Amino acid sequence: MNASAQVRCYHCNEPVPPNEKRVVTVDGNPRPVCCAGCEAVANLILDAGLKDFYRFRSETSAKVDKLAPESHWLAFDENAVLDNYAPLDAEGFREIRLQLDDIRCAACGWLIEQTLADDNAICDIQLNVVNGRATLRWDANAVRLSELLAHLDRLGFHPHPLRPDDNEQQASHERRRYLKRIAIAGLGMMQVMMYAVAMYIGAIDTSGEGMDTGVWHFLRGVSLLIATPVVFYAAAPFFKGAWRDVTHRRAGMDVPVAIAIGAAYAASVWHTLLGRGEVYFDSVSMFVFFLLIGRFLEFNARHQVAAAGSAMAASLPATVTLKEGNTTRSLPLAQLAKDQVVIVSQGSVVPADGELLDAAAALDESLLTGESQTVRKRAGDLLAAGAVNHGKPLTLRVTRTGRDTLLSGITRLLEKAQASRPRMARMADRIAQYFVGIVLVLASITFIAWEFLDPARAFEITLAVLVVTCPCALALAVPVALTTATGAIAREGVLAVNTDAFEVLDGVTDVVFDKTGTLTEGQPHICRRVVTGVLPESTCLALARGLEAAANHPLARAFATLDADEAAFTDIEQVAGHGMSGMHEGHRYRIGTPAYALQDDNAAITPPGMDGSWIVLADDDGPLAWFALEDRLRPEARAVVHGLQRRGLRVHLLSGDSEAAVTAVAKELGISNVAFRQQPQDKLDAIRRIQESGGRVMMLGDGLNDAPVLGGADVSVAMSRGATLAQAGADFVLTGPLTALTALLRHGMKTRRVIRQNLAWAAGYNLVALPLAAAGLVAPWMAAIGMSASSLLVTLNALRLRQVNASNTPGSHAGKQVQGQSRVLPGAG
Amino acid sequence: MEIVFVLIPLSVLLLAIAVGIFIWAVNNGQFDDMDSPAWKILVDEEKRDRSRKERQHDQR
Repeated sequence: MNASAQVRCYHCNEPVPPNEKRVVTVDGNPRPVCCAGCEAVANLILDAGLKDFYRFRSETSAKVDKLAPESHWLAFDENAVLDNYAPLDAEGFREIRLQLDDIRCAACGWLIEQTLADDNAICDIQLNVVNGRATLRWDANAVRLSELLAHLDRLGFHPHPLRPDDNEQQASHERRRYLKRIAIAGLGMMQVMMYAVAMYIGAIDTSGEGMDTGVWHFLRGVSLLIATPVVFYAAAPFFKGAWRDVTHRRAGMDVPVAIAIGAAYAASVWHTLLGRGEVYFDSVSMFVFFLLIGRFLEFNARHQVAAAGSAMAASLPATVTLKEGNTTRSLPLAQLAKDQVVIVSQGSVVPADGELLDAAAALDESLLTGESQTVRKRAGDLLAAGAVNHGKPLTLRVTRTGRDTLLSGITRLLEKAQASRPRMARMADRIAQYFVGIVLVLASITFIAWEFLDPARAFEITLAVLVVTCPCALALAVPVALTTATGAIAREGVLAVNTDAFEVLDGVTDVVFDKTGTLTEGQPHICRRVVTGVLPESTCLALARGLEAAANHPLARAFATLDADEAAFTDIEQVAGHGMSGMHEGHRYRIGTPAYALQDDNAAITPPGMDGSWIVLADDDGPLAWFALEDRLRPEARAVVHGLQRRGLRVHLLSGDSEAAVTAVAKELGISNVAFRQQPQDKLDAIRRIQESGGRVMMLGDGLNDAPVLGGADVSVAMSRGATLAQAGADFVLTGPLTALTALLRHGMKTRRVIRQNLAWAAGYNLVALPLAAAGLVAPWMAAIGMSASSLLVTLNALRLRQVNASNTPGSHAGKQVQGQSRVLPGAG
Repeated sequence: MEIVFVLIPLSVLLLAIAVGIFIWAVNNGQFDDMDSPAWKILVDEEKRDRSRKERQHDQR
């Protein structure tokens, strides 16, 4: 149980198996590594003289399980393919964008840049360590792309080439446009205000020396010159938005804004030309500047790169194996066309929707359906892209590729959900819309009324009404709070996928854990083994290790630590959820659950003990060896459970595991509400029962078969090790240790409070300011300052959410040595 | 006070230059990634361009 006493891998920091003897030499000292993959990567890094990587990294590297063969990338050397992914530029260079897996901290970026910089053919590599996107520019004549991709893969960062299209580039352009507009409005505002101050002082100077009329006219002219690009370039989006609103016959927020900017600017230009009357260039520039800041913050909130989403886009393989007659060749996925025939090897992902040509196949569609049950397919059945081939290699005829596939459709739905404005922001928008209608009516009434009272002041007062009541504070109140909160929890190790869920976080009464992979480390190990004596122990271990080596189930990893060589097997078959079988030296062996391995449904033969879950190795005559598997508790699990209980939350444990295993965990953690042997439907029913009795449920699952259950809970949190689609379906994804859960709840409460304060302030301010402005007590410049101050107050209030309260994170000593910090999303600011 | 007729156009010119430089920087992608460069200062390394030229030199 004591994790810290264990030897951990120098590269990936996972426990080193007891019989593993591999070491790497660092500064003359041997350091243990856990497997051949990690050894290879560590040596690659050390041989390149880059041992600083291990000094600077703030998160441990991913365990290197297996590398794609170099031939996997060969398809990216064909010119037709390259032109598609990386167009040739005038200087003979090509540029490609890559999504890299397992970029965890700045040191990863450093490592990649250092190793690739050694290559003279590479002229530039830029890596964003936050979202794992890299842009690589290289000399296509000097080095092949396949070499570069294979090199990145060898370093442990599996690359996914991206094609140069998509919304992301649009968002990046939009961001640049915003920055330029803000700069022009901001600099223009400063200049014009300076002249305005000079003119105000000149106007009130009674010493007789007052401002020279020539200078006075000159300053107004210069102000006009500077305010013109501010109005026509920086404020263009408001005019466009207002025009769109008008043509759609609705009262959007842009309408009064555009009227105010347009009218104030037009009047100021007219007065400048006439040489008398007020000018409002300063107020206009300031108004545009603060409005743009607000829009920019909101834009950032919407376009935050959700790591979960991009990971899913990368879940399909980059290349496929194409079958043409009797020959096969590698082809990039993007080149795949309808009616081509592809081969999908065991354990690989189906690259496109298609029709099965073989007689039968076994697939895992958990990425699509959330069910980890193996699905049997017959010849002619439709296979969906994203499914994993669990059986023998299969061939399929492609029917739909790329954006037409089922997976792509689901991805788009999720992207749409992510890109949409949060529900509370939409509500504020709707209120703002009514508000705008009222403001327009009131402004007209004010104008008409003042035409009778004092026609000279009518224009100025109407302008003040329009500016002072700009509902930007109302529109900013929610998005800024949500963006800031998203950034704050990202630093604690939680990604917000669905920001609507912040609303619900505060009211959570029940926290439901799914045992596998949430409270435990998800890496079972063998804690007991009993040999029946039919075969010698070493033979049994070799057989067990050999059979499990072919499996892709998490339990199988435990067997890789057995102190024996792998026995060679032929005719291996995996039955998902039950076990493996295979032929060795003319005998059929099975390993798995007792019911499967012993072909014995009545459980007449019982395991040698009651504790833990037992796996049995058997031949046709009976059991040969028993293995008890145990999954270690996460070191921080107890502190988190107690922390939740102290907050007055009911903690539940629903698990598919056996009674003995579940109750042992529950007892250790002090959880009293326990259910075992739960199917997904049972879990869903249990959640419904809690909800019917008035509770609000936060469900924590590891993905795989939890996707529908996660959907049923009020708030769902997925572990980052789970299936990618389930992650995207969840409201939050936990990337750090479990302690982030308490931080998430704390932030949820604070966020809700800030949103309420903001909405109350915005509404209150407008209710007070409107009558004052209509009464003629507010000059346009005061209105612009008032509106800006109101927006600023709302924004600053939201920025308070940034504070990470370190004293409230219990158990932060546990798990990885350094947590948080490196997973910083671009927050508001 | 006539000096303002020279100084103010001068300041406007400077403003235009500043805006021009900023727009160049934005278009050049200087503001695209605000997070990674902050990390890079933690790593001491030789200047990339020079070291590459030296390496090329060494190979010849």
